[in-house]
Amino acid sequence: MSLMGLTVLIAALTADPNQASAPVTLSYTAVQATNEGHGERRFERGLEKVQKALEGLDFDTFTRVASGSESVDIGDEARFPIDDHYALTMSPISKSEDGRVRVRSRITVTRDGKSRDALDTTQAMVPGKLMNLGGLPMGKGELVVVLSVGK
Amino acid sequence: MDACRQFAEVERWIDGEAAEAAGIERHVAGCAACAKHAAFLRQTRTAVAAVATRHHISDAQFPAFMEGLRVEIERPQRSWRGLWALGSLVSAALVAAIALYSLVKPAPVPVEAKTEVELFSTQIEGATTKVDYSDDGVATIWINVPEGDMW
Repeated sequence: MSLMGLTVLIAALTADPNQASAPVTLSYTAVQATNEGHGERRFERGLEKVQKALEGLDFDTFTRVASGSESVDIGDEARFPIDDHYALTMSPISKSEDGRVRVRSRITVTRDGKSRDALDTTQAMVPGKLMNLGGLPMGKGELVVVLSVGK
Repeated sequence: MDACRQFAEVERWIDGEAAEAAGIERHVAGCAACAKHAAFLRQTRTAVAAVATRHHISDAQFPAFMEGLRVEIERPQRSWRGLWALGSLVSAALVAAIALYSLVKPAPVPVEAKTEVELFSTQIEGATTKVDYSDDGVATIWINVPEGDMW
């Protein structure tokens, strides 16, 4: 085996699959949370994967509004429309050595051509774990956005 | 080489198996071809006999003989070919070790890692935000918008 071949092989074997240049899969599920007085929590079909994150909230009815996912490189951003007023922008900032991904997430609200950041957050997210952004008014309830980054 | 019909008889005579030894001897004395053939056969017998000679090692010589064998067997073989072989062996071992390490090394995401909210803000006047962490590690950033008015 030539020295160059050996070097290439070692480089390939020692390459960190979590290297900073690898794309990150960002996912979201937007939910309208309301209190209908059911006495029990009701989750619309399609919310099974995020139900665990929603169970701790003080609402009894959860209705799916939008969802999606996109793989983006570190430093790039993914923009997800939620409804006519809200949009979510997610951008992976960096990966830490412990595997977590720092992500900036913004929910912007637009009305009459004006837009502002309703919520602007930065968090170190564990791949595969869920987190919530919530509290913004939506119809007779409130908007909850469940975020995750891919493993 | 000249040939003679008596070659077979000459060969038997050399081997001591001729029926008419005296007659063959007289023929060889008068036949140049048979005389040359007889000389060749005698040389061949002498050479074969020399190879077959066994050298005997006396009991007194046996320890020295074995020590000589041991010294020759254990003598390090210094040659470029040996060095190349050693280098190839070390390289192969290195590649195998790295490959094994890359296969068995633990995943970078620690079991105890939790999502951590680092920053959060809003451009909605009068709104307040808070962060909660559930027991199962779900982080929730909640915004309270005064009377649902974001403008």
